[in-house]
Parts: sequence; structure tokens; C-alpha cells
Amino acid sequence: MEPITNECAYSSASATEYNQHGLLSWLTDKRYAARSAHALAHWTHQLSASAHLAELLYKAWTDGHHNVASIETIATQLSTTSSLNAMAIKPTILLVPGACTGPEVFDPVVSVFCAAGYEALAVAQASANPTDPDAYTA
Amino acid sequence: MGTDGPSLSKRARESRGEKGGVLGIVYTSSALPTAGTSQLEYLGGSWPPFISETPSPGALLSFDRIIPHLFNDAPPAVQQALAQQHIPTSANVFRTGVLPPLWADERLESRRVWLLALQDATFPPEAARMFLGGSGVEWEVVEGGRALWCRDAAWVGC
Repeated sequence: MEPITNECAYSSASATEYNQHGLLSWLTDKRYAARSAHALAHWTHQLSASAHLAELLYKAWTDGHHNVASIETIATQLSTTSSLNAMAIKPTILLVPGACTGPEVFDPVVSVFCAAGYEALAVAQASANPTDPDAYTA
Repeated sequence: MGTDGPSLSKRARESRGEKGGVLGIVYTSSALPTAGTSQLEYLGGSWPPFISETPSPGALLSFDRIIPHLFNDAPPAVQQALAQQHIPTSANVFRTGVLPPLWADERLESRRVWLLALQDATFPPEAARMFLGGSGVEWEVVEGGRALWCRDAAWVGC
């Protein structure tokens, strides 16, 4: 599996959906079929599930979305991990860059937070590299 | 970050019956202008030598002259990558007064941390300590470098 990247901000949103609908429905809901297996693996890993489970889930997903039984088995194992409950109460980390800086500089920190199970994202300032610099004030 | 509306702190939002809110703030900026003060006023009315500005209208501000040194505590390869990500910012933003800053919110008392940049090529640590003293609020100060978020992301995360 590739290292966790900034994509986990996206994946964390999926974790919220899990809390609302349950992991199994999240996995099997056709609305999410278009989501990449890569992002799904990130999300799974982010929840501090074992790397082995994450790889199994990744494989099940890439083998074909119809493989529901396989996914169901893994989902059952995942749902018993305490990290899922811990995830629900952790705060979101929002990183706001200062002058002359884009959100990319925070990628390493975002990765650290996400690996620790936090939802983290960096945002861009509208006044940074603007098309109309005079349109913005402090 | 600032707002001229209701407080964004979690405590204030809860008192209004709203969900969510800001729990705390880790500040890595160099200046602490108070509400209504512009960055330019805060710096005494003229730009320090490391800031350059293009002509108005449409003025853009950048740190062109010292870009490589902005990240002088990062490994050379990282310095180069970060320097390439340097982008200009609207100069107008620095000439207008800031909104009431989030860091000054009294509901964040004991929940503010300042990452003091010991190797800052823009403002030396002594200047940063002066800024902190003039902020009028209490900070927990943690010493580090200017590019800590990339040099030691795990440490910042902790």
C-alpha cells in the first residue's frame, strides 16, 4: 500500500458517513462505487485498522465491487476495532497558511495528523496569488 | 483568522446552542496585529527590507529577496521545494485593518500555543517575544524553527 497522503482529508469525510450509515452500507452503497480503491484503502488505514485488514479490503475492492461477501467479512472485523469509536470524538485540524504560502506546505503535517486518526485539511487563502489583488482586504 | 461576527470558539457556540467550534489555536505566524490594525501599521508604516511590492493597482507582495532563507531550518532539498511554492499575496490585505483575530478570543484562554521560530530569517526571536508581549493575551510558547511543519512534521503534530 502506498503511504498516506493528503487524500485522507477526503477520506475522513467518508468516515463521517460511516458514523451515520454504518461501514457495511458505506462499502456496498452504489453511490460510492465510483470512489477509488486507493482512497478507500487510505480511509481504512487512517482509522488505525491493521495494515493487514486494510490490504484485504483494498484487494476485495479491487477484485470487483460485486464481491460483497468478502467485503462484509472484512467490514465486520473492522467494525470491532476501538479506533472507529475514537475517530468519532477527535477534533478536526484546520491548517490556515499565512502570506505567500499555499496549503501544499502543510502536506507533511496533514499526513501526520491523518495517520494519527485525525481529520485534517489545509485551505488556501483567496488573497494568495489572486487574479485581482485589489479585490481582497484583511 | 478573524471574524466580526459571533465568536467561533466551541464554548461560545455551545452557549448559543450551536454544534462544533474552535477548541484551540496553534499560531505560527510572525505578527499579531489587533482588530482594525493593518499589517503595515503593525510594522511601523513601512515594509521591512525582506518584503517587496509590485506597483498599484493590483499590487502584489512577496518575500522575493529572502525566499530561500524563509525555510533555513529545513533540509536543502526541502528548502528548494518550498521556495518554488512561494506565491505572491494581495498587498491590499496588508494595508487594511484586520478583523478581530481569533487568537484574541478570550474563550481560547489557556488554549493558545505559539511556535517560536528560533531561526527565522524575517523576524528574530527577540522581535517575536516582543510581539507576544504586546498581544495582551497569554500564550504557551514552544521553541522551534520557522519551517517546522516540514522539517519535523511529527513534532508539530504532537
